Amino acid sequence: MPAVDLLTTDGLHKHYRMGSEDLHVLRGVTLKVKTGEWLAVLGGSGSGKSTLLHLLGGLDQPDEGTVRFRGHDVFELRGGAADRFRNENVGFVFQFYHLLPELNVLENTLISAMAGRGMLGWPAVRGKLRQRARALLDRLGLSPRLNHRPNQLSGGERQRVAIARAMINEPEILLADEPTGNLDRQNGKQILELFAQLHREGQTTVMVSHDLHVAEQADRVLTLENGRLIEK
Amino acid sequence: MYKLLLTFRYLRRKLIPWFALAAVTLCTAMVIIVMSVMGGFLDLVRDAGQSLIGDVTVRSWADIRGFGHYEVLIEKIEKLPEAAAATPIIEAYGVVNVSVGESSRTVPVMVKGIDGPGQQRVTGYADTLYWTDERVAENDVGSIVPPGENLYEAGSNLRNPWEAMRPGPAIVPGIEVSPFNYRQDDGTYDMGRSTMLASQWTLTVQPISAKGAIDTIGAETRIFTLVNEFKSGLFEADSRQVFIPFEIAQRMMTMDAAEMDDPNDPNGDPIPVPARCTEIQVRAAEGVTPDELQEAVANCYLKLALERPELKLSLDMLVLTWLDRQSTLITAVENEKGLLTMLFAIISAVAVVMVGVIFYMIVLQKTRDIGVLRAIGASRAGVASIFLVYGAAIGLIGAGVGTGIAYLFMRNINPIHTWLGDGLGAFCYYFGLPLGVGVLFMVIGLIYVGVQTLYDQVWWRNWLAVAVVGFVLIGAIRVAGIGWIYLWHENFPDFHRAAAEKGPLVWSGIMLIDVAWGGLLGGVALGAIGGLYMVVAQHVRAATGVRLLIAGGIGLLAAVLVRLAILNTSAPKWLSPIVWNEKISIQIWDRRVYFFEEIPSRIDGREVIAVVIVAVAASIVGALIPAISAARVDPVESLRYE
Repeated sequence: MPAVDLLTTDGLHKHYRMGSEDLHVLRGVTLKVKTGEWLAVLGGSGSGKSTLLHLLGGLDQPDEGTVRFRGHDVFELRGGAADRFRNENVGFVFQFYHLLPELNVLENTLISAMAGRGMLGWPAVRGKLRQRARALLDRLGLSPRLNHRPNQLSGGERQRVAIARAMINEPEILLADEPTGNLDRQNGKQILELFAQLHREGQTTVMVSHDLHVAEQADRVLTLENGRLIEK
Repeated sequence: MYKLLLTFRYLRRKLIPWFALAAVTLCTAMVIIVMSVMGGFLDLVRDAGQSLIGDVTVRSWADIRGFGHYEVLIEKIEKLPEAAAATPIIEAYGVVNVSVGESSRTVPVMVKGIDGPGQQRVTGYADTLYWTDERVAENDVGSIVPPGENLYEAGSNLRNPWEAMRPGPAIVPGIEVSPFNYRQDDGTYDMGRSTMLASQWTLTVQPISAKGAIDTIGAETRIFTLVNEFKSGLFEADSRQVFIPFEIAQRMMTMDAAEMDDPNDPNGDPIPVPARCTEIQVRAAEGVTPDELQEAVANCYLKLALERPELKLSLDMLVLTWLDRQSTLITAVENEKGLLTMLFAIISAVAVVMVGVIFYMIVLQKTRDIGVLRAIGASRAGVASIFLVYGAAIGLIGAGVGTGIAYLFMRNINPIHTWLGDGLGAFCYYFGLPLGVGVLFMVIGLIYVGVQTLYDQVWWRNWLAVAVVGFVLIGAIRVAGIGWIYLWHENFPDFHRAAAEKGPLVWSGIMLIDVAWGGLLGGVALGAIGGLYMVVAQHVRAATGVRLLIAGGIGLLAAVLVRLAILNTSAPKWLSPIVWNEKISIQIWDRRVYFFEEIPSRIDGREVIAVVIVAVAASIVGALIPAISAARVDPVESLRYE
């Protein structure tokens, strides 16, 4: 299938107020992400990488500019539609995993699927989704850990659970914020291998990182400098 | 679905919600208990009132002279389909004098002249008689009763079984009328040694003529024999009222049939004056309400007055239901019930605030998780509903458990009350010394744990661990100590005597309680020292051993000071175990003040349902503001920093 523009941004600006200081984090970011592409955004600490990722996922609002997903303006979606968009099309992976401590591995994986379905809709798909979650966790080497809680897992395992949670709804795009930033070299390598594998299967991914070595694994690397994206 | 999952998990894995749950549980139980006790009290007052005066009363309007031709009226009333029975009463005020040996007392009374069987049909009067065959046997007064006689029957018919020995009509006073009846703390009477049965009572009344004139010749006095006593449960009646035979009362009050000179024709035939009574009491037929009976009796009276003018029936008559006559008391109790329920409901508002505060803390703690949920597509309403469902769950569980506790409490309220009054006092006396030390440590420990829990929810486990170790250690020391005293030491004769008297089974139970109590206090004490250690560790820069020594030293010093203060005779009084005994023994329902032997209770299903609904609603309301805060959490902010 020929690659098409999945996600495009046009002139994104974002300001933050820190006390009396005005931080202009993004200064007209324009970007195109094609289907099946693995894009890495490289940038130093505080360069606005996470902000860009949040804007791409519709989690935050820009002060100026647009984000289009398959041609539709993400910020025109209101209330429930915006939540549904994130649930169905976007998978977030965070640096600190952000798993829910009360839930076990299987439940943490399924929580995304549950959030997208109402009380009445869930029982109909419960069996199918549990099966999918088990298969996904099996593929990530977490089958023996299904009933374990996050505090019983290593950092690498937690990040794999976070990836499983992001993938359970088969999103069109995976947004990863420093996915190896909190892992040792060995675990970081495994996670990157996992992203590469997903990419080979056609998964569109935008990953932000401060580490050039990590970013270089992607198809394309953009650098965020002074609030602008520069292609290298 | 994730809302239910998270609610369930938060309930299971968090300690804080249990405080909210405890608040809802206690408030629910408290309100139900208050409503049930007051409802039971109200029922007792109603039942007692009804058993004294029947369903409906016919009497003169504010006139104690009474009215004539009552037999005709009773005949008419008894023919009404709404009425089951009617009986005449003579009500008067008098004075009784009673002597036992050298002692003599004179007390004012309300005299009620009744027809025993008639009164039984209308009010179930005989059911209130105190001296039954069982009571005669229990109090060992059978020897007083003449052979072949039955005091219950004598009281029912107002017949004197001692006529040959002590002539005079029968009198049945309320059980509190006799100044020699001794009411004990538990609400029962000690009648064995000072029974008034067969005693002679001198009753004096002041007759009033048909025209309302007070007899200037003098009061009417007669000697009666006490054949039984009654206990209606209504203190006002039981302490002020005496029953005598209707005809005797009529004669003493000069209300019997007579003839009087015609003032218009002094030489003519005397005018017959009909016999009078002061009121007629009527019992309603099955299924007829007092209001329906009231209407029927009033119509019947009017009809009779119109149909038979020669009877000269007065139209200044009142037909009252028992509720009308007892309205002052019943309304007061009803108001008291409403007021108490409202007061406790206001106190229960604390639970709402507590749920709100606790939930707000949870929201603050869970900000990052809320951000994650928002990132994966949970809506604001969805996030808010997690906390609302959580609040509802706490309300439901709390209300359910509270209802259960209230039910068990109400089922056993009298044994619990007895234990609080007697058992707890003995318990505190027996364990007075450890109590003083324990209370101190408990207060320190609980305050510290409370403060710590607010900041760190993990620390309590350390405290619990230390407390459990303390429990085991101190418990073991106490077992060894008590075992040593019991088996070998000769210097505790009281201990040995008590052990021999109580028997090995009871004694083992007491030992177990002692060990558990000592162990608990020891655990709390060690836990408190652990708490002190944590405080010292935060404020003193020194090696762990030194900090531990400081904390232990403070704890030990406190314990020694308390022990010395308790043992020292010049110590403040409140430290004495005897004072603790008095302070801690609780008399919720003082039987010397209230007249019922037992604490009344009535669990009303509708009231319970209402309380449960309010508890659940209050929990949801308590969770509302935290839920709104949760919905407003900015996912970007919450996920930005670690």
